[in-house]
Amino acid sequence: MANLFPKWTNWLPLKILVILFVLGNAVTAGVWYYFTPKYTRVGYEPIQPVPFPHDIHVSQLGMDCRYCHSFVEVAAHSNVPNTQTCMNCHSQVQKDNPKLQAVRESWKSELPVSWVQIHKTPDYVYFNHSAHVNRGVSCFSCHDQVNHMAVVYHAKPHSMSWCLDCHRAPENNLRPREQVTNLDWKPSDENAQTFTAKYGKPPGEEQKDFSGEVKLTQLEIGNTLKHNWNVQPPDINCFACHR
Amino acid sequence: MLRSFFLIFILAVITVVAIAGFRGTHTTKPPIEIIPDMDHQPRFDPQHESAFFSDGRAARKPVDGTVPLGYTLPHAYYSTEANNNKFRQKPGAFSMAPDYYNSGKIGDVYGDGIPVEVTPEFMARGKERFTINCAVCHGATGSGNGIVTQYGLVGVANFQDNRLRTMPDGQIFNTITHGKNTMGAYGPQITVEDRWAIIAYIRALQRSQNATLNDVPQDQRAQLDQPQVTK
Repeated sequence: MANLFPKWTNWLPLKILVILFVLGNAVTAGVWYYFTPKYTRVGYEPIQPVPFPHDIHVSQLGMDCRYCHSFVEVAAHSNVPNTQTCMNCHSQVQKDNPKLQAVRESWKSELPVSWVQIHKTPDYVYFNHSAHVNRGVSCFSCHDQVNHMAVVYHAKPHSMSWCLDCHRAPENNLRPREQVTNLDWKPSDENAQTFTAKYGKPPGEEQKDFSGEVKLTQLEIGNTLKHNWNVQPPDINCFACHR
Repeated sequence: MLRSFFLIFILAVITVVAIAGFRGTHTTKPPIEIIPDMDHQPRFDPQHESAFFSDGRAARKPVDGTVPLGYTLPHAYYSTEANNNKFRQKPGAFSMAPDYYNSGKIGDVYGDGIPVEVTPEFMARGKERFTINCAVCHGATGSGNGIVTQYGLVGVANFQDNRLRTMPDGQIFNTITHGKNTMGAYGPQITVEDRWAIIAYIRALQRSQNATLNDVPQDQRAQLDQPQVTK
C-alpha cells in the first residue's frame, strides 16, 4: 500500500504548533497592550468649543483651580464653570478674540457652552471629588499637570487597578490640604519643621530630628497625614465605589 | 508553509500597529469602550445635557416661589446638624433670604458688622477664599492691582480707598452677591458664610495697610525698630 500521507506531513503537527504558539502570543500581547485604558483613554484630547488654555490661566496668571471649579471641595462632581465666571474677566479682557466666540454667544443666549467631558468614570462607579481633595489627594494625582497643558488631555489611565493602587497605598499621593491645588508642589518644598509641628512626626520616625535642612520624602509626608487624618480608603469592599 | 505564515504574520502585525498606534498618543477621537456594559446608564449626570428640555439642560431651576425638597430655611444654618460635617455644603449656604445675614441689608439700609463670630479659623477661611476668588482682580493686598489688571481689566475697586474703608460691611456683602458695574455676581459661587469671611479678611487687609503704632501690641513694639533678620 502506498503511503497515504506524503513525507512533508511528518512536520505538519510541529508546524501547526509553532503557528498556534506564535498566534497565541501575538493575540495575548495585543490584548495586553491595547485592551486597557492606558491605550483607550490616555491621550484623549477633544476639540473644545473654546480652546481654553489652562497653562495661561493657572501658571501665567496664578489663578487657583477653585476660581472656576468652585464646588470641587463640597461636591462629588467638580463643576465646569458657568459662562459668567468667564465673563468676569472676558467682558473686558480679550473681548474681541474670535476664540472666545462661543463664550460670548453663550452669554447672550443664556445657553451653556457645550464643553466636552474628557475624564469620565463609567456610570456604575461612584466617585466623589470632595472626599479626595479634602483628604490631601491633589488634582495632580488623577489629572496630572493640567496647569502646564495648553490643551487638556487624559493623562492617567483611570482604570480600576489604577484606583486601587492608590486606595491600597494612599501615602504615595497624600499632601497637606493647602497644597492640593498647587500642582507644582514637591515633597521637598515642604518645610520639615512646620510640617512636623502641625501634623507630628512620621510614624516610626519619632526619634528622628527634623530641624535644620532635613527634607521630607513623599512617604514620610504621606504616612504622617494618613496616620493623622486616619485615612482608610476602602480597598476591599466593592460597594465603596460600586454602589 | 512556515515562511509564508511568518510573512503574513509580520504584515498583519505591522498593519495592526499602523492602524491602532501606540499607548498615550494624543487623539481627538473619543475613547474606545471595549466592554461598554452599563457604562452609560439612562440617568442625568451633573451639568449634562438632555434632549427632553428645550434649553438642552438636564438640570432644572426650581419653579419660582417654590422651596426645593430638603432645603432648610435660613438660620437652620447654625444648627449642630448642619455643622456636623465641615466639608459638606450647609443647607441655606446660598440663601437669598432678606435678613441681614443673607442680604447685608436691614430693611432697605446696608448694615454694618459681621454677623458671625470672627475667629482665627474664620479669618484663615476668609484669606483662602479671598485669594481664590478676589485676588485675581483686586490683588493680594486688595489694592486693586490684581494680575488681570495687567491684561486690560479696568475699573477694579481698590479696598484701600477711603470710599471702601468707610463702606458698610453689608454693602460689600451685597456687591459680592450681586456684582457691580463690570464685576460679576459671585453669589452663585461663594457661600453666604464665606462672603462674610472674605469681608472680615478685607477689613484686616485695610487695617494692615493703614496701621499706626497703637495697633501693634505693647509687647511686640520693640521688634518694630529691629532690622529684619532673615535666615
